Amino acid sequence: MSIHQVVAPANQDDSSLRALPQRVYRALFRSPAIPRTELDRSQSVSANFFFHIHSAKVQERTLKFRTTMGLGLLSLFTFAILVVTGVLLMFYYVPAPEQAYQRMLDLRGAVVFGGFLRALHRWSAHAMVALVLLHLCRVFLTGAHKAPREFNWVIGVFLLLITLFLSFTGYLLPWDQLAYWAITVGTSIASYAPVVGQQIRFMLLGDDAVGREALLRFYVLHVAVLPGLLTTLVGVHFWRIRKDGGLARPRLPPPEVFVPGTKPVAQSPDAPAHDRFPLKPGKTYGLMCLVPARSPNTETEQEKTVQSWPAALSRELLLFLLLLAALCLVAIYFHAPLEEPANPLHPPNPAKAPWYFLGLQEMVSYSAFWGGIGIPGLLVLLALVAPFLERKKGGEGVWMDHSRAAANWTFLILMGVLGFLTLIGSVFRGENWALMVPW
Amino acid sequence: MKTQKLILPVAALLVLVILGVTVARSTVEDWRKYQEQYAELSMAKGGAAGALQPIEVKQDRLLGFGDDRIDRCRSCHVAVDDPRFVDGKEPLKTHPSIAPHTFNLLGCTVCHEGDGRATTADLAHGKDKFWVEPLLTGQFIEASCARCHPAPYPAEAKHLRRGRELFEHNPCVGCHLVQGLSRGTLGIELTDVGLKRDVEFFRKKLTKPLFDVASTVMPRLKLSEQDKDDLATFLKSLKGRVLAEDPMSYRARLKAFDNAQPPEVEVAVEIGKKEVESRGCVMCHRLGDKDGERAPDLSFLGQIREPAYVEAHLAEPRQHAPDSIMPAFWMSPSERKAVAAYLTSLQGFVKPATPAEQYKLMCIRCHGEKGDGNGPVAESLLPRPRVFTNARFFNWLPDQRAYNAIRNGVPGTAMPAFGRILGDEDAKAMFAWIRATFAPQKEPIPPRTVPDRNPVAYGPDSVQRGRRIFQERCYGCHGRIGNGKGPNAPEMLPRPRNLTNHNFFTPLPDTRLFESITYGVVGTGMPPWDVFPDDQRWDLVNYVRSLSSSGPAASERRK
Repeated sequence: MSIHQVVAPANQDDSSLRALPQRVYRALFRSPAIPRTELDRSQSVSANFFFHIHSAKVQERTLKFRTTMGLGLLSLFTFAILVVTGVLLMFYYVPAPEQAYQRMLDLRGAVVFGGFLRALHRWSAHAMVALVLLHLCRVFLTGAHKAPREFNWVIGVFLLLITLFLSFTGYLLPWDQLAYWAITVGTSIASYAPVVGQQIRFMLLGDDAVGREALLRFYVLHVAVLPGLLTTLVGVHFWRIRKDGGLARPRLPPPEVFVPGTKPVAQSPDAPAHDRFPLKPGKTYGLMCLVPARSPNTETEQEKTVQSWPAALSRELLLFLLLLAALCLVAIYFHAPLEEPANPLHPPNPAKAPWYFLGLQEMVSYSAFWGGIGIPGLLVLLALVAPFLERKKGGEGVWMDHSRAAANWTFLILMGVLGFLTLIGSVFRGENWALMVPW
Repeated sequence: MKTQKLILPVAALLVLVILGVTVARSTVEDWRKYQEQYAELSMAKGGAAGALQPIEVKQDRLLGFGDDRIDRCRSCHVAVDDPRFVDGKEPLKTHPSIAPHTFNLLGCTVCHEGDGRATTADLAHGKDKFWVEPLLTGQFIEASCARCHPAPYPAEAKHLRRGRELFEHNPCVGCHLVQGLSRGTLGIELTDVGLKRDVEFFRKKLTKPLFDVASTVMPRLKLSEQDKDDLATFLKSLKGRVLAEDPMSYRARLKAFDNAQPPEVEVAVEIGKKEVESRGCVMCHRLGDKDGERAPDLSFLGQIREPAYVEAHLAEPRQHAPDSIMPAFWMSPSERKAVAAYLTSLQGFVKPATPAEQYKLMCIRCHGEKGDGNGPVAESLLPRPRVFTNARFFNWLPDQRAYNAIRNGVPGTAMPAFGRILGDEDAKAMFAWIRATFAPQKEPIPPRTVPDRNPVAYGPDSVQRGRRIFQERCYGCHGRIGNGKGPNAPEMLPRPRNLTNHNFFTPLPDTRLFESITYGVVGTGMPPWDVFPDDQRWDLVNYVRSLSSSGPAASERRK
């Protein structure tokens, strides 16, 4: 059934009881459950609150795995899993030093699926940090941060920082030795900032050392402030993708002039009917007709687009299912770590920050200020201004494009050094932060 | 397109299967099995009451044992209070009577420890790597009696009582602080050590102090298995304030203990003997037929050391040897005098006839049977006993110095003046015997030129210059503060000299220090430092003087 039949039931009595199910359905959805026409498919996407972040049609190359590797969406999906598991965990958790650890024991021993939930939340958190970092790499290496997408890149950098901070604040909550000392180390790094370092640390902890106040602050940041901020910025991030004309893509050779009456360029014959669309030049986005202004419009060349429903949506669902399966498998076979209860008088040797800060901790072991504040600060600053520094056009949407070799290699070397330091810090540092061989 | 249509349902199925597995796994917990078994068995035993219990996690909520304490042990051990299961198999077994205690008020982990909140056997029994309170079994459960019953513990807790006795009447109290019980300062405070370590740790640490750390002053104790178990039981019981004692009276008790003065006693040999016996000196030292094999022989000490020395040594052993590990015991001056009098009264030294026999009696305790400096006591001593088999060192060592060491002892070390009981002739003979047996002189010694006096006047400038060189070149072995414990020190034998050893350096002339710096000390890790010009080496000599407050620096020490 198509929407036209629903909208105009010419031969049916709309007020009859028999039509009630249909009317209820129509009250909820504006398009049929399984759309079969171009218009219905467009409607399914644009008239649905949750789907309308998509455009009705997407570029064919957007759906190719190698274009994005799905990293941005995977990050979003891990966040969704984290929100769901996190909310469930909140039902059992008490952010107080006397109870937090005991609640972990309850989750492990007495709550049905408690251990699984915690493991899923924990591993998803690590996965999200990793996925967001990889997403950043993908965007940079495909030049997708360049004009006109500079601002979205800046938002992305902030999203990365929030993700790190989210994971970091969550790290404290189990209140075991691992948590306590990782946060002690992490917040000490913050105190190396000149002039205000001690104040920042005090503001974070609400005390001179990690304790009751810190636990409460980290909890509120972790479950309310940061997720709210992240959700808002993710919304902006996605909205900007559309306003910036979809994913970055390479410039095509100038389009052939479209002559009315001639046949459109042939598409691959095996494309399904709903994926076929006559190629037309000169397609633009934005409110072009209303006001005279420059629009962040798309290229003017021919586009190969397909209907978002079902081409994009089914792929997204698949991506989500595979991610969920993988994370669940990990959560079943690897318990979330839980060490002995936090003991402020008995630091482990070595006390290590969470893995993604071990690069910093490694640098801190050489110079407190430069390792903890100076270099990371400069790196973040560099990331923020990168799209404004790289002004030359070209290379957008192409992996490791030759015209951007210098930028790409600078980026790769910086990431490589950071990765190397993280590896040293996590695996090759033993007691008293002395170099050691882990095997 | 076809594969794509297929892959989506397959992925969905995969997720469902994984979630299904998770659900399934959560329903096959052991405690369900045990409760079902219990229901069956108790039906068979002819009681309907047990069979009617719902299958669920059973909880004991314990009041008065810390925040929110919950025991779920009886989810598996469901028959502990069912007298029909006396012959049952764990976990379905009746617990021996614990009257007047009851399970629902006391739970299980208050005595047995483990993790009361866990519901799988491994976790509940504390077998998790990180769990600090693994299950207590056997005699070690007695440690938990002390949670509520202050010392003297209930008569039933025999092992706990004996453990405390061992602790109190042995030198443990000299080093370790347990608030309200002992006053040691040298070792680690043990007031609540039972909260931090498990029984296995104590058992290991008591006889192998080095099993978890690189260095420690804790001597290896000679203990029987039973002693070890009882001491471990007592140590596990140390958890700070006993629950039965209210905080104010606890504090009052500690305060009274801190303000107490050691009792004055009559200075008499008999009293001193009693002191020595009740304090367990022989846990480390040797006296008569008792030997702890961790510290020097006291049998003929009274014939070598003056009573005043013994008294002063008891008050603060480190004034004689800065690296001594002997604790300063809580004693009144008269108690110290009595001990000194007793040790001085032991005059029964019978000198063996030959140097070989003398060596066996007096020297092997530290220097070892083979002269390798590895006697049983050696590892308690710093500086370590001289290694006679160090041929290179002894090739250089002037005979006079070696003889003097035997005859007069070496100040600042554990080497006493054996000349006092050997006599000059036998001391000479002893030296000759050692030389012949372990370290015959083989090579001629090239002559050394050492000025006969220090040309650089001692003063702040010279010391400062010496300090600068020292902190650049010497700290690796001798340490930043010159205490001989630099980062390289643990790998060196003999250990680098502790340059703050006042007693050792006082009798040495500047020229001897200059010689050791210039030519190094052959046979040790000390290399020749003749790369420095003469005056810099003299600056170093002056700096060592300031570190040890000896020579011209001694006048500063008096100020």
